[in-house]
Amino acid sequence: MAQSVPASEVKTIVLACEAGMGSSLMSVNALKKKLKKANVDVKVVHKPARAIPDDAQVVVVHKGLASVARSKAPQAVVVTFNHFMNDPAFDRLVNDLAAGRTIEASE
Amino acid sequence: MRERVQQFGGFLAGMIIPNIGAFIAWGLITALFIPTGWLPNEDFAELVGPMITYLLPILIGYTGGHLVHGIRGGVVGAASTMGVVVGADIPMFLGAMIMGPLGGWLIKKFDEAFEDKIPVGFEMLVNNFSAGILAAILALIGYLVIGPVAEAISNFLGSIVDGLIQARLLPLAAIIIEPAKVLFLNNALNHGVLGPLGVTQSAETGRAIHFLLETNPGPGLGLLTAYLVAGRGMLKQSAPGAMIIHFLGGIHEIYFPYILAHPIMILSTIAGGLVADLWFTIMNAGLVATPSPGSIFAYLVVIPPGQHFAVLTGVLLGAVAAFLVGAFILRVRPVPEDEEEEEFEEVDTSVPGLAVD
Repeated sequence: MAQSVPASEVKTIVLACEAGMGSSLMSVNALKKKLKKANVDVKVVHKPARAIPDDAQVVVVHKGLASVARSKAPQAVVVTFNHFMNDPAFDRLVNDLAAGRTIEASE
Repeated sequence: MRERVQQFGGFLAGMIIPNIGAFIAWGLITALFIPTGWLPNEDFAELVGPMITYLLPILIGYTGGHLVHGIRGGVVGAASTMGVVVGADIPMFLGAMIMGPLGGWLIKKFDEAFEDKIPVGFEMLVNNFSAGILAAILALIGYLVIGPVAEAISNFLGSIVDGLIQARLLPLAAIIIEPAKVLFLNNALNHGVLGPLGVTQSAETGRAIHFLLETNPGPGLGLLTAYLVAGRGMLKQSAPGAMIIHFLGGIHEIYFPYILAHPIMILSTIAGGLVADLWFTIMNAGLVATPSPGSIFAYLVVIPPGQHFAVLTGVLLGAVAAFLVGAFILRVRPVPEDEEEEEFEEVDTSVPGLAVD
């Protein structure tokens, strides 16, 4: 399981939820806005946790679905959040990408 | 263990969720044009039966096969599903959920076994006929064996639910449904279990209570209102936005973290679900089809004529009960301070223009 990836390498973020059409889609739009505001050029897509693509680099998922995400995408860095709105994990991710740091997997 | 249940549940729901649009189309046509609908129309009403008997199960069978082995699996899954559909008297959702993945899996195994053994130039012949022959055989097996078994299981599960309804015990389902939701099994429950059972009922009587059990936006609204009134800190501040997304947008997941942060609050939504379901049971309430997402707007679309009072009051009662229990708990046992801080620690705002919204 990947522990971290340099921000410069990240091209796409996968937002995963259970069905792939409710909360993930909502979070995608919120995240896209934050990325745009911070001038970060990274694609954001939404997927059901069971269908995370093999080449996913960074997967953002609620901690309740983290284990499903990790087993479906062992090569990806899995970042978890607790709350769908205003969770610091989203801002931390955007900050790290904007500042060119490494993206770390959550515990 | 939880992961396995989530994965299995996700697989079940994954066969249904991509096809929700078709379910909604069926639901709308049913709600409008059946004799007890809003705009009865004999000709249009002819669509109702074939859509639920053939279209929806076959779509599920295709999707099930597709999940396992792409389009090829989908085709075999869909064709095999015809066997259980034709042989049964009830809409064969369970049958489709068995035949679809089964067909996909078998053709996948065949492809894997014969990958290197096909003579050059015979690939298309082998591919087409392997799929065709397998699908034909599976359709026959579906007709003879799986169909009757699936029908028996469906009827059995249906009669259990009916029995629970008769005995006024269905409300207790909230004790299972609400915790399952918070563990992200909401889709598996709603689409994988309750939906298929409900559709069978709805096809007969024009409505089903099953569609109300997991999707009711009342309890979640009550819970979030409790946090708004009696909560503190970020959970209180973020409640209004969450209420809109939950009740109007139908994204129930947004309230799960409010329970996960203070697990005893599950009693709030259980109370809401229990009261609402008891009301629905007494009033013999039901919806035409699954409201997806669980938004009040979606509810308004799938409430059959004559049911508005029963359904909407149930939503309200669910909200009130959840609010009362939730607010009480928050007053008597507030969210632990360190829990709150941990959730919303200070964020580094060194990037200009970026702040927590």
